[in-house]
Amino acid sequence: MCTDTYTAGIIVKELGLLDQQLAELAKTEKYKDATFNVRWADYSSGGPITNQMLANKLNIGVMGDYPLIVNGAKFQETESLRTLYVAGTGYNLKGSGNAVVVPVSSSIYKFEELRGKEISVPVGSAAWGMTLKALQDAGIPSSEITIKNQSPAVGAANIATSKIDAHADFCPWSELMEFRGTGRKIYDGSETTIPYLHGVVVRQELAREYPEVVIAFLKAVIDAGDWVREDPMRAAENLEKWTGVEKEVQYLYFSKGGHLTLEPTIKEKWVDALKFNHGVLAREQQVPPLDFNEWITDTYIRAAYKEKSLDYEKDLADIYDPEVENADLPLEIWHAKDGIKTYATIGEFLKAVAEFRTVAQKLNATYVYDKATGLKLFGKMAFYVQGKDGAMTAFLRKQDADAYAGTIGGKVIGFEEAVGMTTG
Amino acid sequence: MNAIASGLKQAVRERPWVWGGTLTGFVVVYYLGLLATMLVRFGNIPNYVTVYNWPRNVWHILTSTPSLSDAVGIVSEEWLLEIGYMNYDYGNGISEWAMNVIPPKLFIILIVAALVASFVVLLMRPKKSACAAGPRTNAVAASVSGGAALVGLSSATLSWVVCCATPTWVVSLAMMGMSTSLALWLEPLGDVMTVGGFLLLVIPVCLLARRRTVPAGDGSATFSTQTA
Repeated sequence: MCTDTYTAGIIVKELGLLDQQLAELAKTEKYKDATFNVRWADYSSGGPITNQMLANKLNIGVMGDYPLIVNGAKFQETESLRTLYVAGTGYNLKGSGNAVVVPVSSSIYKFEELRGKEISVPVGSAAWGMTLKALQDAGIPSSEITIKNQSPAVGAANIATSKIDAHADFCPWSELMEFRGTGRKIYDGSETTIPYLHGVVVRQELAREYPEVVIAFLKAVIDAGDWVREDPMRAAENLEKWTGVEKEVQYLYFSKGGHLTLEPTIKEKWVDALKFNHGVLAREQQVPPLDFNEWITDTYIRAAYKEKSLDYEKDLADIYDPEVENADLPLEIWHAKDGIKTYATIGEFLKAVAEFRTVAQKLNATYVYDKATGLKLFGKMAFYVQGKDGAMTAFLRKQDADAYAGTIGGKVIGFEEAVGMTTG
Repeated sequence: MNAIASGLKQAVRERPWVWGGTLTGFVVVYYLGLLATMLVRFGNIPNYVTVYNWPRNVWHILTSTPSLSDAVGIVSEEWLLEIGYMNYDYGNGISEWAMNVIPPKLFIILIVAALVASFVVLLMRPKKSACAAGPRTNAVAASVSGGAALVGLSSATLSWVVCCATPTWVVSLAMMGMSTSLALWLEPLGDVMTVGGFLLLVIPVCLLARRRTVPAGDGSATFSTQTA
């Protein structure tokens, strides 16, 4: 379900990328007589994956940052078993992917306005960690807010029926709620500035006995990332078929400028983020200690890069910052029949939306970029600031739009009004 | 000790059907109760059942885990049966909640059921001899009920996606509305609750069993003093 795991899970499985790598492996002396039986398992969260790995029913697990830490710590708690964190699958530098959403009709626009309100979150998830950090940053003591433990599906249903003031969740739930028109983001994980990442853990005995298999798997992960980058729309459409999550939401993650940077290197920043997350878990859930030096190794991903003749050091040094990288990307309209159309300015983009509407052409989705963070967002969910010269700027959060409008003497408007203005 | 065993044996032999029925009924009611709790709490009827090959899985764990103590810990978490609710609103389905039957926990519940069944038959008047004075039924019943409740709670195997879908007894507390942080903080107390619960169960059963073999007027007095 979690979009950040796809390049090491569903894509590798559906495209047979691991099978291709294993077929190559079977040509080598060590594996010439080997029979590979690959079994895939899909779980809604990391907990069962760790249990299955402990029971030696799974050798490789793919999960988000918080469950990864629990995995490493639970293994290190045993006498004889260990896992290794061998690669990432994708990241968002600022922590986007987690978000706090309110019902679309809510009068709440800022996280601080949740004081005295009820917020639900899947406790133990990355979104929960984000919520705790957001509360801390906003100076809201726990006595002034009620946190309810809620599953993603129930939280989304409660947002749709306005049964809860806010719900915090991980990818792609908040974007799903926005796309379906039931929720509106008031807080994005990027505000925590703690990177959001997913990764691959393997049982140490597999890595020791069959390191070539681990490397083959990581090569398949790299291939999966390449396949997505090659044609993001094709990837989004296929992922909808494979996962049931709408293609328009998938595109928000996997397109150029999307939330997710598909890149498996293990950066120092990721290790720091994982250490921070472990601190949160240790305080709140009594998670066992975790020796990061013993747990994290880049040996296998470096080997995978080498075998594919790729430059690991280059990717390691390269960090995708949406604020910088997305600044000049064109805005997009996903036309139901013609596919993705791009526009250089918000004015042209809004005008195109208006024109398509006049001839009743169906648009699957529209995408703009937040001026404050560079994050890609649904055009219909953005706040627009119209300057005195008529130029438009898009924002994710209303307070950012208000502040910007204040500085340029502009006006904050919604998507419909912005589209309406282009037709005069 | 012999007196307790002989009293217990006598009571069970006199009413084997009552004993067996209570034992079976307790286990069935316990697991149905767990399911009913989920059903009431979430308002969804279970829509999937998965049966696991428990013996094969246990064998696999035992033969592939280097440390026996690790293996025992892992085996204790192996599932036999999973009944739950799959939510298909988003994506291809998420197991939102489930009740799991885990054999070691089932074994504990069977012991509790056996103790409760023993208590029931021990409370009944012996068929072959008239007992002069009855025990303080309320006190012993409260002890046995409390003990069964404690062990039952600490042996509950429910999983909920919001608690990382790991079956543990504190999930039931979280589901009842307790803050998850507090519930998870209480998790280590599970063993203490189990031991305490068994003490509350075993002591009255032993005293009642011993009383069966002690002449009327003697044992009942001892029993009353100890349980009052």
